Amino acid sequence: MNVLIVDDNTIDANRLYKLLYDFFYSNHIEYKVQIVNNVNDIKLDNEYDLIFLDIEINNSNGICVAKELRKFNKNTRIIIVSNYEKYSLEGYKVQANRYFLKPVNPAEFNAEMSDVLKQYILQNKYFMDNKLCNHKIYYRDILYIEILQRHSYIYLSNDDPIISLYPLKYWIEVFKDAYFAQSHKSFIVNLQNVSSFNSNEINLINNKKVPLSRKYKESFLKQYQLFLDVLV
Amino acid sequence: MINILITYVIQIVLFHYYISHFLHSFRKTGYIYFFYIVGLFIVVSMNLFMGIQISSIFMYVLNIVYVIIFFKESILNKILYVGSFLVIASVSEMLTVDTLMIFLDNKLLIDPLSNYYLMGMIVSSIIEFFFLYIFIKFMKFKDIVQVPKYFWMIFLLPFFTIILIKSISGFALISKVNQIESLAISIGLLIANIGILYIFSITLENFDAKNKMEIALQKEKLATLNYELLIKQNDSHYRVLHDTRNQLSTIMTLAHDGEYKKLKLYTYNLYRNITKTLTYTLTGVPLLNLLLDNMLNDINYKDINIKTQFENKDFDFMDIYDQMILFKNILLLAMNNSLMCKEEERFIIIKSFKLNNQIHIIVHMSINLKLEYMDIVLMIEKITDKYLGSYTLDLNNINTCKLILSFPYNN
Repeated sequence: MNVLIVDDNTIDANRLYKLLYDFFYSNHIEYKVQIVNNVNDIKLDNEYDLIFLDIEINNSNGICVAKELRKFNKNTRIIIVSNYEKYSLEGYKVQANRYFLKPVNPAEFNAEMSDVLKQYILQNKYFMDNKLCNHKIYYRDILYIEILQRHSYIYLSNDDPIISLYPLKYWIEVFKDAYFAQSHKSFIVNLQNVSSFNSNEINLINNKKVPLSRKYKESFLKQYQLFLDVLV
Repeated sequence: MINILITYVIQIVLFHYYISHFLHSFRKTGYIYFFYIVGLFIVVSMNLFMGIQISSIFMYVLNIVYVIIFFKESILNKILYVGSFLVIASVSEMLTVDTLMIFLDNKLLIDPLSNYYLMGMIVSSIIEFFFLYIFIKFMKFKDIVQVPKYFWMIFLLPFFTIILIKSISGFALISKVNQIESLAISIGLLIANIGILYIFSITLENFDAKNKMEIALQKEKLATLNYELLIKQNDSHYRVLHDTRNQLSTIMTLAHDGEYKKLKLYTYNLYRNITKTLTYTLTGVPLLNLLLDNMLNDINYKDINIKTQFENKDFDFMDIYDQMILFKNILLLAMNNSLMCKEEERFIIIKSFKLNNQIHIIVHMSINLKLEYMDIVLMIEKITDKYLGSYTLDLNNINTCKLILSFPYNN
């Protein structure tokens, strides 16, 4: 995991580094941390998985820095670390994943980072099956799976559907811990790509609609709530 | 002829008296007079050429047309009130005929030219007025008190009583049974129906009284809470002033003694603590702020780390009392569970946001191996159910737990 810490206060940056070390060590995750005290030292074209950003860095505004970083790192998780609570909601402007108030409490840090880690894993999870295609299929790219006449159609966000002979049960097992939910006897939906839903329909990010049947509504809602838990 | 005219006019007056209590006419009175005068000529003509039965039916048809043309209400309301009038008119007529037939000649009573017919109609109209009066009072009473959804069922008994008698005897019970039995059945049914209505109205009154009492109790609870909060606020003000004086005294002493390093550290810690407290007591949700302020001592002295993040601050879909119960129980659940952990592990994170037509509240808290205080969870579940929400407990971790509440929200 490639991590960047942007903070002009060396004590705070080191403290954060120590928390990260403990967290990654206990979760057996390999990582690389870069600490930057000045915004001019940030290499925008570097790919970071995780960026910890102070809001008041010398004379620069962290929110503006975050906007720039977002341009180059769309999938990066940005975490606001600040002395001031007022910036917590500002973070939404740059789709910040979390915010911490200094001095960062270790218990809170570990709890929030567990969710961030789940997001990261989810974002990078994929499967390969030569029977279907010869490249990796990232979970994040799957919109939904539909069973039609004994075939399963895997609809992707940026490609034609992949057709397979696997039954629905197989896919339920594959996506068991990946925040997919069954919405209908013939549909499994990727909750990452749900934009909205009502009592009988689910709208996906590409404006496609998937049915939400009464039978699966309750379990779908439970799954969705658990997904929110990771999302926010 | 005069008998028919009198009957017609009495029916118009009674109908107008009844209907004007429930529906509002939107046309000028002149039009109403004109309508009824035209109607009068038609009824009299029909009576002359087609007989009394057809003209009587037409009279009721005229009333229906009158309501449809002159009143601006929903069709369902119009049908309900015209229908109820017809039922009451029929009951009154049936009761009068059955009673008078005990004493008078059957033929004279149904002959429109006889004085007995006129007398029968006047008696029937008086009884009809009596029933209409009771019904109007009853319906007004219904508007005053909160009535249950099954209120309409009370009209089933009177309605089917009429249907029953009509199907047995065509309104004239005496043609099937003897005079005494006829009178006994008629009066018995009347008393039974009025009795049922009376019992029902008393039940409704009790139901309403219970609701009003619950509201009064809630108001009393809120007033008590308000009073307690004012006292706490006063205590809090005193505490702030007291602490500020002591802290300033310490700063002055350190400055006076030239202990600048200690002074720097002391002011830094002071600043951190105040910032931390300000952070979680200013959520943007006034009620939650009050509750957090109320628990300030526990939170600070028991070293619980609290973080609140309220992107959504709108909880108006819940009444204030339920908001209070919900947030209070959320805080109690999280605090009680956190207190069972080691000091350095205690934390509570509360977030709220709107997403996909739902308002979500996520409570992340530290726990010691398993979530305790399930009775508080039940209280939270009860409020969630009341507002058609759903809740999920994420218990996949032995050190932390998440409570996720979602409520439907319409823009």
